[in-house]
Amino acid sequence: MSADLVRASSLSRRFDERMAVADLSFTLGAGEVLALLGPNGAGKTTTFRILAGLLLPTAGTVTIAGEPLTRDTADAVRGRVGLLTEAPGLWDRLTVRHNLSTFAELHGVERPRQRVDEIMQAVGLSGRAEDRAGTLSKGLKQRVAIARALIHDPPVVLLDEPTAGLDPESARDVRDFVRTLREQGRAVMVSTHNLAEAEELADRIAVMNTRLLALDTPRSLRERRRGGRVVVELEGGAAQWAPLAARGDHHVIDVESDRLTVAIDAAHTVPDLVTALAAGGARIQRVTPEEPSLEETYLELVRQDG
Amino acid sequence: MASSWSRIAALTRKDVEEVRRQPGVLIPAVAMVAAVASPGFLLLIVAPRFTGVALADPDLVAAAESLSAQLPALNNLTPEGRAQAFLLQQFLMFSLLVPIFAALSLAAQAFVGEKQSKSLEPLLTTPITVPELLLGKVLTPLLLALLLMAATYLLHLVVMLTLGEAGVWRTLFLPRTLMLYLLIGPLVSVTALLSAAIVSSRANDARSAQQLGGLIVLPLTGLFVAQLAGQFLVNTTALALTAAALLIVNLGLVWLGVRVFQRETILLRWK
Repeated sequence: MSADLVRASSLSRRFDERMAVADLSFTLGAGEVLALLGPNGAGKTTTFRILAGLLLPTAGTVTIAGEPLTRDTADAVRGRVGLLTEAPGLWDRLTVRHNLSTFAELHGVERPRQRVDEIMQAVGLSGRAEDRAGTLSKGLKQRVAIARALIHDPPVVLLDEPTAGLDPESARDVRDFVRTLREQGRAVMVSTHNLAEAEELADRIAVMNTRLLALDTPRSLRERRRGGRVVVELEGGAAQWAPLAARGDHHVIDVESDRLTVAIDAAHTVPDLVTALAAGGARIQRVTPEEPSLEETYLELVRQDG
Repeated sequence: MASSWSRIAALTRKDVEEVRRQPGVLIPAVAMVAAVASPGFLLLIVAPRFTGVALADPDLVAAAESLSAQLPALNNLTPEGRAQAFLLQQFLMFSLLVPIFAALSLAAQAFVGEKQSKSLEPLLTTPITVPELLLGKVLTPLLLALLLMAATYLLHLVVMLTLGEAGVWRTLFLPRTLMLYLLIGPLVSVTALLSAAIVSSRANDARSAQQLGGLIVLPLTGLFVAQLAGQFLVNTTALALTAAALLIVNLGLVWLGVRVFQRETILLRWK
């Protein structure tokens, strides 16, 4: 198990009367990607801002790469975290190089020019170094913003909705880059509303709605949802068999042409369903169990939280 | 880890580069130099030449002579030169509009521009401290405001050397003039800068912050009108007192600015 680069313990943040983040505890190791899911206003950005040393928690503790976050250590913590903010926030009139070199100097990077060249090459921007940031496409602007977040070579990288609003190709480039960050041994946290992306990228997924609702591997999260679905394809139309399929523990979710989608509470009822249909005279062409999706699990978790 | 000054310098260089790439932001401030200098030049140089009417009417000469103790340099001039120098000294008060206006317009743009481009949050993710951020953001407008004030001074000097009555240009080196340009100008410029920075924290467009200029310009205009109406000159003692008052105001604004410019406040309230 790799060393923890992020440790959050009972982290809470209140804004006046509103609790933005409550009792959040988790760890994140080197070379690990953690996806942070949650509805709008769930506290994801606030969590990132605390971890990046921009806000202080009202309760709980945070340690970043061995440095506990306090008012006195916030500057040092900011030097260990790279935060990609929700909006790229580039200086549009300046060149890509000038945008990056200013941040290199603000971070006190040694040999800033060399570092800017390195990072531009890493994110595929070498050919655009002298272009004004304002002339770049949204995807390229996001690359510049990622390069800026990494200019000081931080061990912890926080990406706030890195693929939001990007075209599929640009979004794929960003995801590929997140994998590269993992291979480099950085601890990466990604907030996203794209569940497929979270499932594809993350080693673990945290679902939060002010407080932490779940934290597990994508597979375990999916399996957490009780039961599943089975699609039964029947010869001669499905509608006539729906009443038969609905007996016992089964619940018919959908009837479409020759397909019956049935919700089941436990795996062992699938044979019961098939037996009941066959005994009733149905000619079954195919039975396909459907795994519960991450989306269903996520929606269930958020709904239960109310 | 970068030093405080290297972070401030990085931010200042960035702002200078932004101004260099968008020189249009300087046009209003440069136009102000011309606007400030023109009325004086029209009255002192152009009008007498084209109308043939001398400046030295008895009232003005009497007013200028009554100030010979304050401005002994006037005694060596011709009556027309005395009248021109006296009026020039009155109009010089207007030069203070240049650093005020330049500082207000450029500082408002500097802060509101960062808000509009949403670049403040990325800036705050760096180890830069808030005082460094504040200083880094006001340095470029301050330098430009002082450069424009110096340009205004040079413009007066060149015009009076070439077109003014003999010896009148020397009054631009009187302690009163130097105090105006070297002490009051920078101080009032800092007042305008800090005010613009504080207002920018609540304003979403540069114009709102610039409107503050009206408040700062009002007492200056009042003083100018009072000078003309009463035919007196604000003397060096009054200027020293004004400088002291501005220093106190500026310290108050720094105190207020430090409270407004909290990292969390910038992040959460600057919308």
